[in-house]
Amino acid sequence: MIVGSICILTICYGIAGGVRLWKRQSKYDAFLLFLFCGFIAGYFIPGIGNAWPTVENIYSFLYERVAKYMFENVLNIKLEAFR
Amino acid sequence: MTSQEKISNKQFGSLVFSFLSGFSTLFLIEAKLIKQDVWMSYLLGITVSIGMLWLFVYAQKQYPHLSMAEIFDELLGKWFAKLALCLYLVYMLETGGAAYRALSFFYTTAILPNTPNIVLMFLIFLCTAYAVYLGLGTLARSIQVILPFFIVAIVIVSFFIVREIDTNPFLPQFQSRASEIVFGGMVTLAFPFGKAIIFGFILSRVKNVKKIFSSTAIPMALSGLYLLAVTYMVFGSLGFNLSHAATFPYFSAAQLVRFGEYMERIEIFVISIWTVFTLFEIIVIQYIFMLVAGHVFRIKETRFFVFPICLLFFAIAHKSFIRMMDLSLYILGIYPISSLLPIVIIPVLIAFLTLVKKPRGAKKSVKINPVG
Amino acid sequence: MNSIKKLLIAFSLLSLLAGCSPDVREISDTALVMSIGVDYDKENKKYTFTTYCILPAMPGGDKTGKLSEWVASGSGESFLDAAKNLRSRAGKSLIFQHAKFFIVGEEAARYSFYEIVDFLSRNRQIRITSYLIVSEGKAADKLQVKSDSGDLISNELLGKVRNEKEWGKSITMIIRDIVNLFPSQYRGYVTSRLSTAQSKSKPHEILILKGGAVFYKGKFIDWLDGNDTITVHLLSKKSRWKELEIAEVIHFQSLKLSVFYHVSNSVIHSSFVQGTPKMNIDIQLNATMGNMDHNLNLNRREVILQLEQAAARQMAAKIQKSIDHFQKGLKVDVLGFSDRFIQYHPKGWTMLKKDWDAVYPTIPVQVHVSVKIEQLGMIQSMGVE
Repeated sequence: MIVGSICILTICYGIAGGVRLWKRQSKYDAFLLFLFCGFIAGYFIPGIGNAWPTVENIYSFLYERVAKYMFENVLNIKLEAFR
Repeated sequence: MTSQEKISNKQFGSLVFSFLSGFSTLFLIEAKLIKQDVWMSYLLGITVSIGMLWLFVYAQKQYPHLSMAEIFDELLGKWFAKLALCLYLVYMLETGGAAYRALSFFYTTAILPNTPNIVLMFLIFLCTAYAVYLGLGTLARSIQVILPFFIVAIVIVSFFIVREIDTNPFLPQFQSRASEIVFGGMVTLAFPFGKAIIFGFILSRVKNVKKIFSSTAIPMALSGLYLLAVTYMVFGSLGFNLSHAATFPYFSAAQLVRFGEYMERIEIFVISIWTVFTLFEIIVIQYIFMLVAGHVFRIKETRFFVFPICLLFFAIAHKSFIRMMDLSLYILGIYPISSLLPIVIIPVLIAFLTLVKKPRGAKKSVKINPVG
Repeated sequence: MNSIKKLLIAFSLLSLLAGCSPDVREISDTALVMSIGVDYDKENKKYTFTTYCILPAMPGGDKTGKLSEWVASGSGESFLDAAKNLRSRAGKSLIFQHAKFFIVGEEAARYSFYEIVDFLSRNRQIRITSYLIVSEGKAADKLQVKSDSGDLISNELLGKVRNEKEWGKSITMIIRDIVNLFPSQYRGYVTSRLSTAQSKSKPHEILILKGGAVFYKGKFIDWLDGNDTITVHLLSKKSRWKELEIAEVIHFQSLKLSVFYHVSNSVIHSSFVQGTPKMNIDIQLNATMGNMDHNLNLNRREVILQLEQAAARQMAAKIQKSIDHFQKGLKVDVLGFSDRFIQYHPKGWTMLKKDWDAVYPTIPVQVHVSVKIEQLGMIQSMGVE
């Protein structure tokens, strides 16, 4: 219920804020706000939200091998994180 | 809200201290690994962190009228500066998400086991979003008022825990290999002391530019001293085995404190210290994120973006580190490497470029309606 | 901005709805668990979880102002399972945060101590300052025993634990110490032993806290008698002996006199002599005269000195006997000799630790006790004319 409410809240805020900014002639800011709120709302949509990127996923993908090499080969430290 | 409000050096120092001291004593990860030699890792981590922040201070002093984001533009060029600043944005999302999760895990483990994590994180979001909206000046003044109370609480709890210590827990010394000390230093650098690098982005908001370095180095050193004292007390009062096994060792140590026969549960002081300091950490990260994002995306009306930015942190935290073990393994395994770029490499690059390129007179910054 | 503030004030009124929550518990529906007993049936592999609870008094009625006791048990395949199955018999909501004592039955201590310690350290409601006691026989039986003073069992046990420092023949550990020492592969630890005896004034049995239970490498090893427990007190950390008062009977010539000792200092020195580990124990005691069985002229300095030497020799022999029992009988490092080598002789320890179980019984231990009879009491001597 909380997740659904937040999703709706985000979309509503994006629309309301975007319209307000558009009326103030800050069209670029309004467009950015629509886009940003839409992206954030994606996190709270059931199913789709799990596919949305997180820093943990991206960095684990990018750095896991580097970290493993650094710790196990260079520093000779066995970490549970890489087993 | 007032635009471009400056804060005093003492307020800045208080912010730095509270930013570093909240989260740092929660898990004591490197202390569990390195044990009695951990002070060397702490020293290594703190020294490098202070050094890196000094590099930013050096750059700021060469361009006193520009914000750090504008200095990036000046030194790296428009597109490389955006790339570097985006790296910092991702770094702040990473750190803020971890802080959200750490606080909610603590509450659901020790105090509110039947409350879903999302409810706690939502409450954190509401509180921190409003604080970011109020601005830097309000934030700095609040921490100045709250900090003395917490220092008194820390001293009281520490005094009573010290009574439980019988032998020096830091003996015998020099039992760890050099590579283990370096690893501990890397973990200490990443978490918690290297996080202070983001304060580089609000150096231009401090009144006395000349004394900025002491305003950062002294609180960092004091925070390091606090962490070392907590480690000593935890090892001394609980013992190595229990310290290693406990999820929240300092909290477990605080459970030993008793006034007389029946007055217990003094660990509430520790809970309040952690909660408030970690909230301040999240607020500062979100505020600086907003400043940097406003510069990168050239946002004019940043106050409309406070709510969505804080919601982004909430969303990332909600989807990250689902299990507590994920967070611990990430902090030990990935975070020390992923944070090298924003904490070490980019500050070194910026300082080098500042040294090479001479500033062309005093440049006035073009402000685009920031919040607070 | 104003609308946000009004919204926030409106939301803050929601906090007044806490009383409508279905999680609210009336005090009359709660039972405060003061002691927990754990038993294990090795044949059936079943745990029994027994709680000794206090029921807050109901408003009105005959029992106003008094606390009612209630003992309930549940069984299960694991410790947690047994604790949960207790709910089938519990008509009240159990509050565990006030549990001060965990009584572990003998069979549970022998065969299932790991699971118990894991549960105690993992559970968030259990405080690490609670006491752990090992019971002879079943713990559930002990919680059914009536107290000698008529007070609640938990209060009586707490009193007995407080009295340890005035007696020394019992030593109770808190969960923090048990959990910290549990994984150690080199040293053991002692916690107190609970048994029953027939009351002299009442027709029922009463609880006795005397002696100790020795654990090593996560298993119960053996019982300790009261005298050995005194030695454990004397050679433990300062918080154990600084307020300790122990009574001893000294045999001097044909005289039998009773004194009580306070410890002014207790030091254990570890050393390596030609590659061989060695321990030196130095204890300084202050004695106060209790009573004598016939007259002795205490006004002469040499008599006092002789008495002190006799007391010191007797005490040293007693401590040495206990240490021999720990080393050669139990073969468990109850006093923490390994900790000393780890802290102060790390290089020597790397050799010792490989074969610690074989080395420990052979370590020579020299005990030196010095006694000073500082106080003679309200009289010097009771001479016969």
